Amino acid sequence: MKKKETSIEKEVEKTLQSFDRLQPLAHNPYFYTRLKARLKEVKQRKAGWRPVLILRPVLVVLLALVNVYAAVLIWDNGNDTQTDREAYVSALASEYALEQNIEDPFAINEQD
Amino acid sequence: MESALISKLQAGEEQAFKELVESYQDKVINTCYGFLHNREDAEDAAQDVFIEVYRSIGAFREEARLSSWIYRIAVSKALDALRRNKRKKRLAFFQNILIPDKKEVNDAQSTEATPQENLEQKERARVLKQAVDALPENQRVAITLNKYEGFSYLDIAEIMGTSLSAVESLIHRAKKNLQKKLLRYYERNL
Repeated sequence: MKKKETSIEKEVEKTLQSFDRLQPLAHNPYFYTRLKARLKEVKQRKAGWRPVLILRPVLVVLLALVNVYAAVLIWDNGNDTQTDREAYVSALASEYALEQNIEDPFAINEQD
Repeated sequence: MESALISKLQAGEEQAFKELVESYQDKVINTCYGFLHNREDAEDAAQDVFIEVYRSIGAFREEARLSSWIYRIAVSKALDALRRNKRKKRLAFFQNILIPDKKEVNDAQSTEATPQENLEQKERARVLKQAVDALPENQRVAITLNKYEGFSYLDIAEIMGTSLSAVESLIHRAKKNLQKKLLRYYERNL
């Protein structure tokens, strides 16, 4: 039992010592070249996205306006009475002389 | 000397930026490597560090040393990369459950070792890395900067934006916690 404890303590000690054995990575002579290419890419991407960034608030405002307009339309339709709608339909029908064809939808074909 | 370099950097001089990268690249890459344990990930994180330096140098007010500011960015980018890697691993785990024959993201990548290390040493390094990764974040940062990178307590205090006594306490607690974790590990595995 005592022997096991000692060997565990030794292992812990040895493992903690491996902090000191870590070798630093070798110098990479191509690092700056790669960094420059990445920096260029980042700059290009940034430049490419700028119009979108400018358009973003415009799009948000447009979307909000469309939403408000849709809400107003829904609200108006909900408030329409049945008689308003019927009067509108009959006015439209009389304007385009549709009343006589409503009863017989094939009347036009017969005339042809 | 440092002020002159900062002025040149703020003026956007490419040569100054190249000088800065060449002076700090090894230390920054190794700092990131201390957290990520993978050369490729460490170099990617180091690129992020220098891109951030390039972008933010205009706002640098010389309240801290340039080196401390750069290493602070390095720690932050390395921790970001570590979180991204953990998310990727979790995703790969679920992908593996859903699509069993799909190969898992190579976990061995994260334990890349130098050729001199033998098998036993590699295993010790892996166990130590796991124990360090399980420490609370501020203890992990302090011990990694001190033990892997050899930063002094004073440097660490400046990098972490804290006091010298706080760093001493963090490292002391980190060592105690590491010892406990390793004891538990070897009790189970020896």
